[in-house]
Amino acid sequence: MTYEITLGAGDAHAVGVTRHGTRATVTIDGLAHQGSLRPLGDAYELTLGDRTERAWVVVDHDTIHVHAFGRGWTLQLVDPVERARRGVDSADVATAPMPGTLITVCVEAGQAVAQGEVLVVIESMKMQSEIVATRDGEVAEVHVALGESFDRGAPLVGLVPIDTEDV
Amino acid sequence: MSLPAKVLVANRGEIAVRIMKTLRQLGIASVAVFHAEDREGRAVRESDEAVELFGDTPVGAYLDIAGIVAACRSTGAEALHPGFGFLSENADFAEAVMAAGVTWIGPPPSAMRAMGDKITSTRLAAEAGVPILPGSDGAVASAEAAVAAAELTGYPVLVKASAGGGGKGMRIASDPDDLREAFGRASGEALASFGDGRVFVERYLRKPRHIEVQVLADAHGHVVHLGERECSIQRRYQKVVEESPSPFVDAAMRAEMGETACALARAVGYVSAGTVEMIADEGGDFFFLEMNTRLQVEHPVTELVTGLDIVAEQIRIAAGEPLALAQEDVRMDGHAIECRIYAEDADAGFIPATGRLALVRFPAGEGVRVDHGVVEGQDVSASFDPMIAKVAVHGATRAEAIARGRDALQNTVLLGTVTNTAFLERVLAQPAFAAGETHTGFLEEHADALAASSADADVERCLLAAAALASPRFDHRLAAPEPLASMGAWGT
Amino acid sequence: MRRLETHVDTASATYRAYREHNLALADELRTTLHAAKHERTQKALDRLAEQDKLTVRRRLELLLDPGTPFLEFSALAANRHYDGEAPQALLVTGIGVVSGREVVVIANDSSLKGGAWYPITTRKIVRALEIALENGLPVVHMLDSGGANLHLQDEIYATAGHIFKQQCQLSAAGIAQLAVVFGYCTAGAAYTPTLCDQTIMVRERGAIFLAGPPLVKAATGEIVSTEDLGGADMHTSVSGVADYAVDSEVDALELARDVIAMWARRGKADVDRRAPEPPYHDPLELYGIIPDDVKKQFEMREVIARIVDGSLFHEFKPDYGDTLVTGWAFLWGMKVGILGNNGVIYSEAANKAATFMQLCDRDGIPLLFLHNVTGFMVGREYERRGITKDGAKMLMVQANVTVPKLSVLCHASQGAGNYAMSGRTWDPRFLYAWPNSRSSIMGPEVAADTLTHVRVSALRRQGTDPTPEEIASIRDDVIAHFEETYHSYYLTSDLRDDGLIDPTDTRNTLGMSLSAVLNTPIVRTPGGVLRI
Repeated sequence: MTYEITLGAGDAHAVGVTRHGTRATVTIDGLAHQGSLRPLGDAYELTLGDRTERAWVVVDHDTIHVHAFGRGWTLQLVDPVERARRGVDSADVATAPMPGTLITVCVEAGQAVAQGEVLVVIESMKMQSEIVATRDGEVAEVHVALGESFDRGAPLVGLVPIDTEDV
Repeated sequence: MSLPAKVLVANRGEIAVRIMKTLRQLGIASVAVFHAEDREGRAVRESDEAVELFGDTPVGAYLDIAGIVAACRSTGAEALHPGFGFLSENADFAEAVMAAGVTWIGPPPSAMRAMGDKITSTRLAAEAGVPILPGSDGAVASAEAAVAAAELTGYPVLVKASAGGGGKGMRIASDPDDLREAFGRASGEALASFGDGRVFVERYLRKPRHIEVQVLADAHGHVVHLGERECSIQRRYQKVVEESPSPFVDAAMRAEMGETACALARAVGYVSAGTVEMIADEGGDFFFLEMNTRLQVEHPVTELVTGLDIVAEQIRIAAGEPLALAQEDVRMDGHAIECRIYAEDADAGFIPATGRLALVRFPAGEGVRVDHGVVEGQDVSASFDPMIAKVAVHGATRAEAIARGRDALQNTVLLGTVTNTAFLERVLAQPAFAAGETHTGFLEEHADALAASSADADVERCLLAAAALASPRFDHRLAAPEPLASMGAWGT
Repeated sequence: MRRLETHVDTASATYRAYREHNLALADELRTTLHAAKHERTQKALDRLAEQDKLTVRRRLELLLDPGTPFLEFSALAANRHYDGEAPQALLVTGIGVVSGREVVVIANDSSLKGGAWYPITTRKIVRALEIALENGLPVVHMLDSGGANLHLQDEIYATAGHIFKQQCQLSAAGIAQLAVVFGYCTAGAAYTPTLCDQTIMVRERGAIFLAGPPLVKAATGEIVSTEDLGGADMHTSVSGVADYAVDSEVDALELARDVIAMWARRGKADVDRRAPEPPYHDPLELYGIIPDDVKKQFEMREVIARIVDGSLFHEFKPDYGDTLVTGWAFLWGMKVGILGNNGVIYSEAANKAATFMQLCDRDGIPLLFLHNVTGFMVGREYERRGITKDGAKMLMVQANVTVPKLSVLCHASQGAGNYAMSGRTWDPRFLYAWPNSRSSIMGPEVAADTLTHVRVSALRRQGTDPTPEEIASIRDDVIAHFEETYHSYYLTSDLRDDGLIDPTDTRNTLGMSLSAVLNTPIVRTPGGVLRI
């Protein structure tokens, strides 16, 4: 698996790991290094190539805090595939996942919305589903009126396209 | 009088822990008060008993006078130590505590009031012979009035808007002609910025140093000073590195400043530990800033060089005991430096940081003292001051203290949030710091040198590898089977 | 076990001559492999780049776990066929590590001829799927082929059907398959991704359909775009023929690694293992041990000493039937039973081999055959002592033991000796050959003598007495035929092995092969061990 890891505000690096027992091959930007991270007392012993360093490490999901070389550092891990998928999902129009009826409208045209914010609530097959914004943006139009029915795939809420948003 | 059997500590975090440590050494039971957010905090854990406080906000809980006095009653605490911050300089609180029959470990409310008011304290200081920063008595009406005022203050002078702030309407003048021009410009700027063109004149100090004198006064009229602390390394008007003694102060100046501070303490009938803050210019002149009628954050550096326990002294003084030492008994041995560890991003304008302290390791060893109030797993929230700990070091010489301080900071492990340890280490590493060229503008002056340099490629690789090897994303179950793993990249 | 002693004199003229000869062979192999795997004309590379496609080697690199080995099969397939226009048969197959799992990779090389199938391509796929099936290894199909080379359709059609049948059998055996569709999978080829459990398609590049747009237009008049007819989005969101649509080959391979990481990880067969250690004797000395002529003899124990862990070997019946060495050793930490020839097989050797194989079968120990065999001993005395009967016992036992078998053609592998030592037709799990090795029904000289005798007799019966030149010509023709067809490069071109390997790569090749065979349980054959 290759992920992008960023140290502080630095550039992203493509990093992969292949484990061989307690050792591992760590590939950083295409160059392979022999490495290991072994518990040592209350910390770890980090080895990379011929360099060995004591390190304390805390993993908070994709944020990794490391204390080594006399200070603390924060590294951020990003899965490029996940990011790419998010990119694909963040369409300009929120569409209906199933046929149904619009029962609540939470936004109006011109309103700024954040990713994950509920746009409308639909009811279908006796289930209510929240339709959320797939990205930050501004609502261009709510295509369906309250109580109106729609088919699967029907546009529900349009966001102002990114290209024209700043114009 | 004997020492109290039980003392309530009306504070939280590291200072509460620090006070309790002395209480334990003196065989005194401790009572902690806490807001729900601090329930799992170190202060509560270290106390013998704890009482919950309630408030509209977490900070509000620690400002609840009635609640704290009630806690004294319910726990039978005989005395109260207010620490610093919160209600420590609130004379009404001191009176309420005393009215409840509880000993106030601090100065008399009258002294607190006198020193708490800027105008009164300046007047009293002047009367006691403490130098006051010379300046015009209020706003100057004209350029000539400004020049006349400057005759008294001496050049260079600072022309400052009465309504000012943020450097607007502020000009420095080094002679009368300069001043006339500066008056016009400052006044115009002030009018434009604040709608109020009034300006005043005061002596301008180049590269001023913040130097303060620690005094101890008992209820029997004895006053001693414990030498000075220099606290010039500040960001956003808040101290981050303090040391004792000051590299700038010689024995004569120390004696003079100490005498002055003691005189002021006597003049206001001061009892307990107090600090007279002064500002010194390049020439060695010093001027009164204010007197803090409480324990200071940076008191450990004085304790490290004098070997005294200031909190214990406060408790004994509050119990009516006379000071056990005379001025000539006060020794300053070696050099001490304290660094304040804040949860903040020093590389991004010192903005406060939050997060869960998932891993906490403090340095230890000879000449290293750490005062902290955190426990592993604790959330650093925005509810309170972002100071996590104070790392203080002591060395035979200032150079030794600096080296020890750098080492201690490098071994201060606080993972889960962003802290300023690396920044502080860079401060101690500055040649100008080593040379003692400290002043209140130090961090701005050396901003470029203090900016975080990006990790060198080798270090970055190591860190990337550590992150990758630790991340659960690189699943251990994805390890190659043996013996293939041992074969390396054979055949590719 | 005891450390094998070496009797090789590295200072001798023979050693030096052999070494020079074999180093030249190793060099030739390296050069030829490099050409087959990597050397493409700039035009071919430009064409790939125009299509926004990666080379098959780059795809492999992105798929496999960095820093792990790759056991490639038959990289020189078709190197002596089709005028060399289909290097590596335009297909890469091998065992590699993806997300920590051993998998069989089958990947088209579309740098030439659009990655078209040749008859040997088809057989190479069949062989790779056979390896997957026999050894319980998941399969990753990396599909990018223009389809069958229709000029050779009859030969292709004769075997291609096996591929799809094997895919079904793999599924029934609980073995996972993933397809990554980089190009068009048209007609029959559409079934490969569709018979996989999971399929990833690259948008605008990959397509799956029974007939492409031109054929559809010809057949029904319908005009339809490739994407609409069988593109990634259509198949993943409408037809359900595929499961994941991605924008690039890089994303596809990354996702493939993720998919494979979710597959079950099966335990390995429980064989006797110890910590691996390199051979005590230097494997590089193999170059000075292997003779410069297939007719020249050498000591197989010297080879064993340079392959197995610590050069440690427990020899079985060391003083009996000494033209065949039998014994146990560990290879990359895994126990293996070794049978190595020292020339002709006599009755005693055949009988010892039969018993030894039964012993290994009893204990579930994989067998390794190291070939240097010219056949079974001939002659009146041997026939009278029943050499054929003893040979038959060896064949019978060898064919029917159920432990996995591995073969390496180290030098000569001729006649029924090849069969007895589990040659290709006896279906060992893996079979590799050294470049110096030669394999044929008999030695070329014997064959030439025989054929010349037959021809000359026939001519004499017709009343013509061939001149010595004519006799020499007849003989030369036979020799020439043998020289071509018993050559290791010719044999590997025709997939008579799983690859030509440098002798010094034998240890790793066998280590990976042994690791692979342990993915299926080892079942022992019922019955007792015969002291024959």
